[in-house]
Amino acid sequence: MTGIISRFEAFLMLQTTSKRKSLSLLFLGIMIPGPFKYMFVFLLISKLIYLDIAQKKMKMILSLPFSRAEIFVFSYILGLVIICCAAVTGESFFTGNVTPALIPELLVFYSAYFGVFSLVSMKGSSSITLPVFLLIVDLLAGLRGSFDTNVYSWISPLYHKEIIYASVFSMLILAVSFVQFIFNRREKW
Amino acid sequence: MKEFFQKKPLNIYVFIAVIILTVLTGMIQRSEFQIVILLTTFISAGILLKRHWLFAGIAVMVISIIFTIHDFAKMDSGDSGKFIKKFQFHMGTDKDEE
Repeated sequence: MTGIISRFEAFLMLQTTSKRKSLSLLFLGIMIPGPFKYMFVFLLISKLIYLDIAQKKMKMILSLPFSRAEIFVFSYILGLVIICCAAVTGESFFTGNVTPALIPELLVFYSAYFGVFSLVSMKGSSSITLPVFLLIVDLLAGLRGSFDTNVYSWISPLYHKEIIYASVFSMLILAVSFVQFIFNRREKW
Repeated sequence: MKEFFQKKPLNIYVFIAVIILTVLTGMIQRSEFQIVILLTTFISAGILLKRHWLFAGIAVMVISIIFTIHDFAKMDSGDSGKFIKKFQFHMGTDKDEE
């Protein structure tokens, strides 16, 4: 347990030192109340594990005493804490009260797109074109129809009309990306 | 003092502090105590992200804005508020003066 904590501390040090400017600016962006914060969450995800793979830093990180699973989980936890802290701080500052649904909704979106970014980066793409395209498709597909007619809006990571179905869907994407990250070793990192 | 600022912050403790303070900020209703906790959370997040000067600067601005708004609210509701109300009355309704 102590070993995991010390490795997590080293990982935090590594990530916050190399990406401090972008992470702090995105933290301030996520503080904005309303749906606009999802755009900053999307940008924050692109600064986590995806950026390390795209900039071919993963080989260097793997040479440090981190396992693949630890890198994935630590990166996920770091992003999650930044998002939760920024969202709660922003909401409580601007509105005074934090709605209980805020964290699950952000968690669904974050988990789904974290998985999407990981999958895209592992397939060798170094641009965020595909995740942006998926986000636009998600945005448009959830807009059409009402709650009863548009089934996609139930599981959509952006609209999450049925939070349980949406969370199951996003956890599925995350699990697939986690398995791919651990077992897919043919990539050029 | 210089040595203190050159020390690297203990990340895991700051990380745990950020989590605890975030939970507290979310649970407590709007009050002076919540604002204190809110600003502490904000500065702790700045220490975690190694941008404590930026975050502390924003926190100082937020404090000054909160105090200014608080003073305006006091002026509006307290004894000195009568002056503002009278002033608004004289400025706003010319027909009453006639």
